[in-house]
Amino acid sequence: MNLFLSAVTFMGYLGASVLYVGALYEGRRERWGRYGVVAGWAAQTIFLTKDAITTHGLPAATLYDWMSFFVWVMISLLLVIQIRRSYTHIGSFLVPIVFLLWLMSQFLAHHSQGTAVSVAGAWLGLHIVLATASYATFLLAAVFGIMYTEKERELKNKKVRLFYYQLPPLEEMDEVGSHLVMLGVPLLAVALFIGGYAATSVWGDHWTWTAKEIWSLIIWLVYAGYLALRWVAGWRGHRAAVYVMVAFLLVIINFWGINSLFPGAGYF
Amino acid sequence: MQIQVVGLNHQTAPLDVRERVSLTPDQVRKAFEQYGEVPELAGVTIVSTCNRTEFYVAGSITLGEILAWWELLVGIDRGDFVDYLYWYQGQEAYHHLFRVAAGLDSMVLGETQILGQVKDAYRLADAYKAVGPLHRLFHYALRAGKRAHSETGISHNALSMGHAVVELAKKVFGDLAPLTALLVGSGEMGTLVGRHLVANGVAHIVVANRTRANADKLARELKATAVDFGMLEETMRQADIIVTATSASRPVITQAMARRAFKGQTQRLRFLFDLAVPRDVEPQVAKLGSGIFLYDVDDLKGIVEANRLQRQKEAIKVERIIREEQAIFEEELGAANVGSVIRSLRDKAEKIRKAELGKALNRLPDLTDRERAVVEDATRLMINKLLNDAMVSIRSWGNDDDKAVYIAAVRDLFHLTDDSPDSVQRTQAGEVATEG
Repeated sequence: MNLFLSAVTFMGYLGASVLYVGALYEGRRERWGRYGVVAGWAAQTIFLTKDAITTHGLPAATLYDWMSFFVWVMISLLLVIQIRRSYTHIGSFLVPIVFLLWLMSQFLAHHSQGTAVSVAGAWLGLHIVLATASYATFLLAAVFGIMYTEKERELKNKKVRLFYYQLPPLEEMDEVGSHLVMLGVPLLAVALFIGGYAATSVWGDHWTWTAKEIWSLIIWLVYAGYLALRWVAGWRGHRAAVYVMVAFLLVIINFWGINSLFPGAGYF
Repeated sequence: MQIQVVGLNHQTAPLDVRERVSLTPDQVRKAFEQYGEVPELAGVTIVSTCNRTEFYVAGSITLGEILAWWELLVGIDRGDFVDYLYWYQGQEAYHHLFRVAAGLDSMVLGETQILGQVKDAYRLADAYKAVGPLHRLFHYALRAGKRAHSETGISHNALSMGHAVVELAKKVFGDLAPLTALLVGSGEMGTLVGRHLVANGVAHIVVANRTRANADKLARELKATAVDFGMLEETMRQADIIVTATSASRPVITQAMARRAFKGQTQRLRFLFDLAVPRDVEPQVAKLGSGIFLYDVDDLKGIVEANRLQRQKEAIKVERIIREEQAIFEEELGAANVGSVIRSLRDKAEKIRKAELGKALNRLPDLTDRERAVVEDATRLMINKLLNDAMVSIRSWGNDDDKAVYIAAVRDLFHLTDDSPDSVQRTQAGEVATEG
């Protein structure tokens, strides 16, 4: 059953990635792409629900689980965002990224198993949900950054092709990107705070200076820095777009690098 | 019954010919008033715009008769325009109207105005009850036109300089309403672009010109503000969109000037359109910041060209829609054409069957009810099986003008003297007209 669900998820997201990229060239493929997304999403929903029932908790206890959960959150967000017609093409950028994340999570499955969390409880759950939500806003902001730079490049080179015709106006993408970070920064702040609180109840210490904790703090500072640069130094457009793209690379490093280099408490 | 179109358009005829043979609305009305006097004419609709004049007719009227009518209406000898004409019949005629309605036959590919003009032509003819069997043709052509605009991008993307400026600005800023636009130069081009910007909702426009009086004049027209040319640098700082179109022989906006004007705002999105030849803006201005976009006349031409290619791509999709709609129309038309033959053939067979069955049953009074039913079923099955292949073939002839003679042969062969296909179509068309 699990294998079947994983297969449907794989096929759904893979097909959707191809179709969504193709939709940039021929809009009609977008509809089929969405069917793929919905199929993968449905299979994943069942999978995660099953998981949640068997473990009596949020299906995000290991890195493998969490990434799968994160992908699920992203796809759910995409389905909501796409109600707005001019944002259809976010899928063309987001779905392939998310598919790769999901694929990586499948390879993580083996060596991460067993890092199961001894800590249960609502605080931890809340910490995970909020952190996930903040990372979701950061990924979406990065996608807007990619779209911005692609469209900007066509406009600068004066060779208009795909993105000129398909993507929302530059200013709008810039603004949406910044709004997403504005949402993500406080979410992550609260998540870290609650994480500290939850940790106190387990280790008796709210901050243990693990690589993971330090790195999370760095991520928060980087995104807070983005907002500061925007407000104080007037960063806009190109620089802001590149900034959020690089910043999300830090998030990815946080997951793979730190988790595999420094296994231990703090999980993900 | 034949549907045909005779006409000329911007591709076949020069403007002086087009304007001489085009029909004013009054002349079109006059034509419709004469409609009842021509018995060979089952229906007519006239599309007359500045780019085309076309007669869509149904009935047995000949090309010569249509031309004679046209001559009479506009008072010009056919020798003056016959060389520029095209004449399509049947499927080619339908296809032509579908293309016209969808904007594929227009001078500006995919323009939407023609759809309204075709609709108006149809409505005018309908007001005089002159459309006749053309109802369904126009219904499907207009539907294909609407679908072309709603389902494809055939009418998207600017094909003129003025529109391209607005389009590019929208690609960068989205909503133009909160922006400030600066027009440098109040000549023809500046005026044109200014009007486009106003029409697209730019609320705040500033005009700068060396001759202040001209700036004031244009500012009045656009409900804009005029400033002295000396204020250029300060005004540039406020502006999101800067359009230059002066006749100056040296750049009006130099790099040094722009550097001062944009100081501290180099990341702010700003679009400069240099529509002057020689150029008004030094090209190095574009390098002052990541938020600065500078397009000159050639760049805009490049955009228009890319847009044209884009529309041509969309035209392929429109052709697909046209094929779909035309197929539905032709199927319907075919069914109407052969409907009466099929009906009368089946009626005749049924009449014979009932008569002979009655006679036979009279001679067999001892049959039980069940036996009578078996005999009756056998006769029905015989007739159905015999006629089935014939019905299928006849239905397939409906769309094919070449097969019209077969339908006549079937009538002759079986002595079918029912209503004619034309009269059936007229009543069908009438029902349709009340639908909308």
